[in-house]
Amino acid sequence: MKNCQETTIFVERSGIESITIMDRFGMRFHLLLCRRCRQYMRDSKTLDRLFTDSFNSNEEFSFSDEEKRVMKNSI
Amino acid sequence: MSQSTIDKAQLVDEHSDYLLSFAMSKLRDLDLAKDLVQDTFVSALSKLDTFEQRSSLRTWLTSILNRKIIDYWRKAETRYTDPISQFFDPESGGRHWIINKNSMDIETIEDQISQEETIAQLRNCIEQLPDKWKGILSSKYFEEKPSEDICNDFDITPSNLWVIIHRSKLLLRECLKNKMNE
Repeated sequence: MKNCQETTIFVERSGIESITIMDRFGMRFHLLLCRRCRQYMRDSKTLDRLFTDSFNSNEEFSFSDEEKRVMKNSI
Repeated sequence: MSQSTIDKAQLVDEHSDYLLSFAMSKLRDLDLAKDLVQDTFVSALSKLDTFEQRSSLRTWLTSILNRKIIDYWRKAETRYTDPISQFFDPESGGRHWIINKNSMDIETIEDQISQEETIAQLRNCIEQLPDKWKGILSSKYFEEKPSEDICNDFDITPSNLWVIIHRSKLLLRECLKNKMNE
């Protein structure tokens, strides 16, 4: 039987690559019995969804005129 | 194109802000981003002869900058010293969870403070992660790059990748839940 640490790593791993049927079975079995790992799985999916917006940055940045002047002279 | 045909001042005026915004979308560190943009101009000027006019100057500059960002990430520290025992009890042979006070789901937090506010809080939490991890998460969740490319760019193994995602999520949900208790 997998422990909580291994099971939640498998939750992430199974989202990235295919895992063996035995590993999948072990993970499912643990999740069936463990409330805290089920909560991790729910939170993991919520974070996947929130990440897309959290990392989306359309913010514009600019150099100051002084920085541009210095850069023109130093490149 | 030879060096004499390019106007440095024009190069800076036309492309520096664009390149800075590009670097910031990946790095979130203004000083570092500015340094890498300047390095990009220096590199570009030193190898103008390799610029093929098939692509635009901006595309070419962006590809040089992107290479510099990847080089920075590859050298950055992958390891993070925060112990996993913060979350799992090494004393219990089964490595069970250490139960913390706040056990509400992140979705419950979202319902309570709105999605917008949750994302704002999450962004603050993300700032505390190591630079390399931020880059990895951004490549995966925002740029939606294939895992294989991420492993190559960041010089990590697939096993590193899922462990970093696991650890990041543990830290971020802990951080979010702590913010709710403040």
